[in-house]
Amino acid sequence: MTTADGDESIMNNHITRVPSESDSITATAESGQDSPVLMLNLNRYTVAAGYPDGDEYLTYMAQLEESAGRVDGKVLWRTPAAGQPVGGEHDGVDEILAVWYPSHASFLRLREEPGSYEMYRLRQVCFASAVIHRCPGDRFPLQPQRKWACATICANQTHPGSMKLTGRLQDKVAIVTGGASGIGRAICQRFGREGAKVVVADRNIAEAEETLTLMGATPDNASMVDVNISDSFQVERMVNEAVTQFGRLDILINGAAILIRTPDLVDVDEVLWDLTMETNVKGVFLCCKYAIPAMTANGGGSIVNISSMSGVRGVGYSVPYAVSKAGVIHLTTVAASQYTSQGVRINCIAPGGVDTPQMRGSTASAEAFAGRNEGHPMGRVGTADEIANLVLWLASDEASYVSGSTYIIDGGAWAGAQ
Amino acid sequence: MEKLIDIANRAVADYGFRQAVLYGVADIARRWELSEEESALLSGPVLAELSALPIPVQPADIPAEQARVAGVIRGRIRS
Repeated sequence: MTTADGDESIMNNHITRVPSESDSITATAESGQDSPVLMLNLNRYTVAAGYPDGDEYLTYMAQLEESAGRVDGKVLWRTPAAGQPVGGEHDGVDEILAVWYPSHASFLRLREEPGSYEMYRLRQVCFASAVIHRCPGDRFPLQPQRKWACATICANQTHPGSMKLTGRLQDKVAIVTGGASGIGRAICQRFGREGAKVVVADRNIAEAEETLTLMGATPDNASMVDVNISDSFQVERMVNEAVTQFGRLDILINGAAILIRTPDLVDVDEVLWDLTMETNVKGVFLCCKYAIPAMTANGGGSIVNISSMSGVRGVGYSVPYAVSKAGVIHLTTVAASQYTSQGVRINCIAPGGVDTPQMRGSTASAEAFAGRNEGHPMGRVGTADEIANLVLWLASDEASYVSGSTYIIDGGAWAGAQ
Repeated sequence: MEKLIDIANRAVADYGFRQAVLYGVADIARRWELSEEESALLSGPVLAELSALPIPVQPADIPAEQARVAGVIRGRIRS
């Protein structure tokens, strides 16, 4: 869809285009529920919003910095003094100095005005291919006690790792277990950018909230749920909440898992075996058990189970983990044989080494982690975003003829080892 | 007390197990059949110690960290 003047491509609730000299760019400070709220606006659209106080302000800045980094940009800030309370309606906003994009030799700068802050151009204004989240009613729906932050500048579409928005999951409703970090977080972010409504499911609530912030989530397009996936009651509640909030369930990503290092088989503690199996296998079983009826009730859906190369090769440093991941592969096959005919595609991926907090934490030392890159055909382990790309394809309608399959994604490592 | 120290030692040495403790402390207490006092210690001061550890604890630092956390446990139980 295109607006009358043709300079905006409005698609999937996002606007993708390069701002022009005629754009109105302002930043305003408003009184929020608990603290002042910074709103950056491009024309009538909110580009970004945040709570400029204390830790949340710092979190917000980190988010904006990350986004700007995707266009080789740098956000220049003067951070508040540590522990310094920020009070008053406009305090904190004038801490922003400029948004700098060296690849375009341009930057935006804020100038203080009574009650508001005007953003003016010192040179050419350019957000690269800015992706701007369109907020309902042109105003961000602020929630008390929540750290919602609207999507911000991101995704130069020619920059490695960035993707052109295509709405591949537009209006689909997805549950992502293990969405608080690593691969699960990357999937949440990717799905959000592709127009899905995402339920971030995890036991780590603090990190799940961070995922929502990184997604630029609003209550209309994302939520989170604290769930222990090995508990039947909690899983059923998770599915019910997703359907209640968003009206349907189209996609389930089973990403939650634990990896506990163990010695060789005869020395493995039974309790660690049980703990791993209950999370990694029973958890996937329960999520499928409750998600599939919700999907078939609405014509079908797509499930992607996250296994591991440990479940393919039978190697690794955890016996129960490797066996549990093999179980996930076979669970996928069995479930697909039973529910593909009812419109639910069920697939699996088996990643090799991926740079995630879990992998870094489960590798004995920083040196050992660095050593993983050596001897790899690509000279490096994968990134969570690269895994999310495959999951996106499997979850989307582009994979409409794919079910019961397991995809190895390891940068050619296994092939090279044959 | 020894069961609690065993849990703490594992959690110091293994990040995956540490996560299981941090985000499922009641489940861990049940599986290890901890007493009420031990469960309270695990979900309180021990959890605080574990959550402050680096990711991962470097191999050379593991014995010292384990001894430190065990000291916290022993000190609490004595008092």
